[in-house]
Amino acid sequence: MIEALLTFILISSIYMSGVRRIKLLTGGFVFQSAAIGLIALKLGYDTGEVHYYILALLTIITKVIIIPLIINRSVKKLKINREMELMVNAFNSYIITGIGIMISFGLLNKSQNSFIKTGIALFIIGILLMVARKKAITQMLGFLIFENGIVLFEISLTKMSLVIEAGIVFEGLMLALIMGIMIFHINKTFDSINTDSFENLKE
Amino acid sequence: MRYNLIYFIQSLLIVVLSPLFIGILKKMKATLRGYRGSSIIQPYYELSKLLKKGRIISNRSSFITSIGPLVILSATITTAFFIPVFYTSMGKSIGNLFILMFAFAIVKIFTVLIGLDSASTFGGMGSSREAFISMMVEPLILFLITFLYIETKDFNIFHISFINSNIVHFDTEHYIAMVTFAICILAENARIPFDNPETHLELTMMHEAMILDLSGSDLAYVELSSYIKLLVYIIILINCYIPIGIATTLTASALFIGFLIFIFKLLFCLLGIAIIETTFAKSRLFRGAEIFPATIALGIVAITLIYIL
Repeated sequence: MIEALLTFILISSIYMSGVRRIKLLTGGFVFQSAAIGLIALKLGYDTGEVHYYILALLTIITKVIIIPLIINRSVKKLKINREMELMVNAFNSYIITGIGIMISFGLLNKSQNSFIKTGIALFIIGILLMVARKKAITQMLGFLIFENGIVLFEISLTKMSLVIEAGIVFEGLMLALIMGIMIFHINKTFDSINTDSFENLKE
Repeated sequence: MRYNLIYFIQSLLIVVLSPLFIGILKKMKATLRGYRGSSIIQPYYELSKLLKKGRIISNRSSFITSIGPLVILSATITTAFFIPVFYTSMGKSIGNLFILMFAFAIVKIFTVLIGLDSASTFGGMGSSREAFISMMVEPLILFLITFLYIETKDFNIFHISFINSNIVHFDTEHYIAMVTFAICILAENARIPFDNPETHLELTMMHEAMILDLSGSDLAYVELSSYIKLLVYIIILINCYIPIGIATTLTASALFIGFLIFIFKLLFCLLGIAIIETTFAKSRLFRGAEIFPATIALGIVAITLIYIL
């Protein structure tokens, strides 16, 4: 069960690293977060600890329902639904992602915990999306994938308090809210959400 | 001897029943799209109508067009006898994965040559596209053969499915390899999102473009071989990656249960293909080729996971 969900997370992250349309990217993110929520639920069912259930509930409420709503609303208002010019093209993004997953699993082959390895693979994919894309909204999705990696990383550690878990989840939510508003302002000031246009500010 | 007999019978069933399963696939697609669709034995009618007609060959074409369809059909039927269907054992059998792969390469080469042979514009276009897609799929198939070898220490597909049928709990890498092979099936058999099997629009077609100059019995042979090829690929997927429930002893009850479970898994795979073909759009040639780096990444991950862990 958990193996199938981890597979789903890995496949969806490879899929997300090269896809162009923001709607598909959001869809991948929703499924990935749902898989993480289900993993937390399964762990809670196995161990009987309450904080897994709370984490699953928070993840599903924020990442499956609220954040996609915010992203879809900004996509609809900005009339930008795809990222056309990529800094690293889709071919190379997929291969870099594959190599990244390979390295993260290879370096940590001593550890028996597959959550840590998958979490680090998600870090690499999130950073790739943040660095190699130009639109602010895609970079935000990259950060949210990074956030998913942190949640997985944190699930693997047994002694983590609920405060930190809730903090991680709410950080992602606040980021989505703030970025949702900020992207409008960026669009209003520069007439595009390409982060390249930030250079226009200099003298 | 008894083993060989049952191998023979099960493979013969696949050859005979393949148009029926294609009819079921077409019916599923029609139902998902909301219209009635033709009867599930319609492919048999089409094949028999084509077989009644004679063969007309352009006088500009060489011997390739006259022998090509027969070679394609015989190579495809041969592959059907190299795979387990609902019974497998550790006994002696010809089921080497490399033989399978190269038999399919013969099919591919002759299809490409037939497309080039009659020197029509569409044929050359279709051939070049087919060769482009095949070039991308070939390393993936090699990756997956490597994966299966590391997993089971065997190249024989009968033994692989026998060993894997004992595993109840699969690992992450096994699922990843399964998904990779499922994408390979779509690419190798000219299915959406790589090619649309039911169109004759010259901009999009790939497999149809190569056989555009064939007619009559030649067309029937190529069509039948494409049906068998799709089924053989699905059976490789079923028996290498999810062989749970396959009959491993030669008793009547085990064979019966194995047969029922096999039919269920086959229908499930066909339903998956039908859902993909109704929900996805055919992607542009170079956009469709972007799926291959993703699958290559998946293959790399699968091999890394099974080799390291």
